[in-house]
Amino acid sequence: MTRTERLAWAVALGAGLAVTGAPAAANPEVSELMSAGVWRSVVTGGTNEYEFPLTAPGRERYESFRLDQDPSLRCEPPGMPRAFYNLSPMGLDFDGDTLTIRYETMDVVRTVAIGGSPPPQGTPHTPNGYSVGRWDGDALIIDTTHLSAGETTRDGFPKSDAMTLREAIRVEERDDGVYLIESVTITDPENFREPFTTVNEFALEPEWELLPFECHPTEYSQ
Amino acid sequence: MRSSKAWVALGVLLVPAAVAAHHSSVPWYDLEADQISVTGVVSEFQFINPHVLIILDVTAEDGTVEQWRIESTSKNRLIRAGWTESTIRVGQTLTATGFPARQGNGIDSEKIVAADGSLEWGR
Repeated sequence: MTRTERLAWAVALGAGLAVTGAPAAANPEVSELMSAGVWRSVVTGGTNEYEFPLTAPGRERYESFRLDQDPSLRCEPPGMPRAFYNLSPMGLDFDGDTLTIRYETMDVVRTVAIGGSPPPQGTPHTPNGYSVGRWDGDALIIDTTHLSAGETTRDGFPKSDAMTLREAIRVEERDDGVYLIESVTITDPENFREPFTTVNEFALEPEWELLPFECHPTEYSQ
Repeated sequence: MRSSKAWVALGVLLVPAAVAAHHSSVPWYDLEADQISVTGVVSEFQFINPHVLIILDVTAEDGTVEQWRIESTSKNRLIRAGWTESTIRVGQTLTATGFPARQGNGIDSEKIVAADGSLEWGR
């Protein structure tokens, strides 16, 4: 692990402990509800509406992003956080201390070690990064490091390999159903002047199953 | 380049909205423009992800035929709305309404209506 990686991890972990003051602890009732079906975004079509606080180099990367070279046109699965920002139907499955999150769009699968250890030395940077979760009351907090560079959103807001994510996920029972609320805080000093937080809501569809995506490459005329 | 006669014949509205540049790259569809409609005969239907694709043969006033690329949402979303591979058939006449492609004949459809009354779909 590089010095930068250790620092990013320490910041993420330290911030987490400051919030909770407690180690990870399972919350069976909430985790059961979180895995009770498929979560459907209450906003459809993904979102490109965020005003990310771009640094000058970040803006340069954003401005030079070529839509015709978007890896998703070749059906390459997006990594985090773009996979989340597709606002795809998603499913959460808890198996012991492992959480598997599936995003239907592009068949993305990522795993989270609940109460897991910090990433071991030499952990590679990957599109989905290295994610560790813990419970903060009824909220599931997921910290992700070791992301590989790419795009934060489908329209090319950039993502460096120094990016870290903090997701906070909770469920809420309302008169018209059960909702999952997920906030994502992105820290990426190479591209964003300050941490940036988005909040999205998903409705529980207990009868739905995630469908295979089986992406077909897309070609557009220039 | 699309022919102006086809636009006239099809009653396509050509009233571009003010473009608020959101990105230096050119998006495939102009989501800031007014929506347009075209009517034509289905020559191809691909029920696929990430976007369902319909090729419409659209006949202009002078009898020439242009192909229009009509994109819609994902196959998976349409499956949940009750669509199947046979919801749209080759030879069927459809009217598609949506945002125009920035280049070429294309629409990112918001609404698709079949002339035979078998389909009326909107996002």
